[in-house]
Amino acid sequence: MELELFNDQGCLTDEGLQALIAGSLDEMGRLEAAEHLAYCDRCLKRYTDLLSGEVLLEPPKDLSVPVRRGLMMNLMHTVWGRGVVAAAAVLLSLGMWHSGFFDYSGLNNHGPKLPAISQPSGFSQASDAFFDAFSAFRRGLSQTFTLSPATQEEGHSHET
Amino acid sequence: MTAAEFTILVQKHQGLVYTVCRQLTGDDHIAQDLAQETFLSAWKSIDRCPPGAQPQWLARIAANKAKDYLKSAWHRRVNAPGDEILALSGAPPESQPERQLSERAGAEELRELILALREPYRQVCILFFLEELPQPEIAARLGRPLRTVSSQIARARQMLQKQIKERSAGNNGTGTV
Repeated sequence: MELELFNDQGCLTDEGLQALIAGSLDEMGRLEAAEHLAYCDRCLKRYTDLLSGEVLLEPPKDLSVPVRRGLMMNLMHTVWGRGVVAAAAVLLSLGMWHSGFFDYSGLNNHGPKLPAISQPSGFSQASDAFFDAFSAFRRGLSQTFTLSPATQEEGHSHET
Repeated sequence: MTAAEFTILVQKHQGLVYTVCRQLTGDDHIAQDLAQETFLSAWKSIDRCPPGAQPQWLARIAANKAKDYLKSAWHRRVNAPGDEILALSGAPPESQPERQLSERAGAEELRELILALREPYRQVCILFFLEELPQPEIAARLGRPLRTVSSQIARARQMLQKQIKERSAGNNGTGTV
C-alpha cells in the first residue's frame, strides 16, 4: 500500500512523519514535507516533538566554531566591505594558528585538541569581545538608519 | 544576545537543527552546510524569536533552508534541456499552459485527473484549474504562502502533463493493436 504523506486537509500524516524520520521518503516526498513544515505550525510542532532521544542526530563536528567564524565574516562584510574581510580572514587564521586551533599533533593518541567552547581560550575570548563590539556597533547603525526592506523581508520569511 | 550566549544556543540546539536538515535533504554534508546557514540566519533575527520557542523557531528556519535547497535541486533537474516543461515555457505568451493541458486532454478528462490528484496538490488544483481563482486568493484560502502555492501548481501541472501524455500514448497503442 502506498504511503499517504498528507491527509485530506493537506497536513502531514503520522505515518508520513515517521517515514521522514526513518529516512524512507524519496526526494519529492522530502521536498513536499519541507515545504509544508516551513509554514504549518501544527505539523512543525508534531515533528519537533518526535525529534528526541535516539532519533536526534549529532552533527559530525561542533557547529559553533564555523558558525562563529561565519558570523564574524558577515558582520565585518556588512560594516566594512570585502577588502577588510579578506584581511581579517587572514588575521583570524593567523590568530587561530598561534592559539593552537590547528594543532593536530596529538591526533594519534588523544584525537584533535580543539579549544573547548565552554572554557574559551584567550583567542576565542578576544574574538567574542570583538564580535560583541561589532554587533553593538551594527545595532547602533540599524537604529540610526532604517533597515532596508530586503533585510526586513528576510527576517519575516522564517517566521511565517 | 552576546556571542557567548549565542554559542551556547548553537551547542544546545545543533543536534535538532542538524537532524531536521539531514532528514529533509538526506545528505550529511549538505545537512551540515544548511545547519550552519540556519544558525547564521537565526542570528540576524534572534530578537524576533518568541521566548521559550527556540527549538521550533530554529526548526522552521532549518526547514526553510532545506526547502530552498530541494527546490533548486528539483528545478535544476526538471529544467534540464529536453524536458517538456521547456516546451511550455517556450510557447507563445497568449497560449496559457492550462489551456494547452485542457486542449490536449479535454475538459472532462482534465477535471477527472485533477480530482484524482493527491494532497498537497488536489485542493490547490481544484481552486486554480477548475474554479480559476487567482493564486493570491488560493494562498489566502488555504493558509499557504503564495510561493508555495505557485510551486505546487507548477509541479501539479507537470504531473498532469505526464498523465495526459501516458494516457494518449496508451490510447494510441490500443488503437494500433
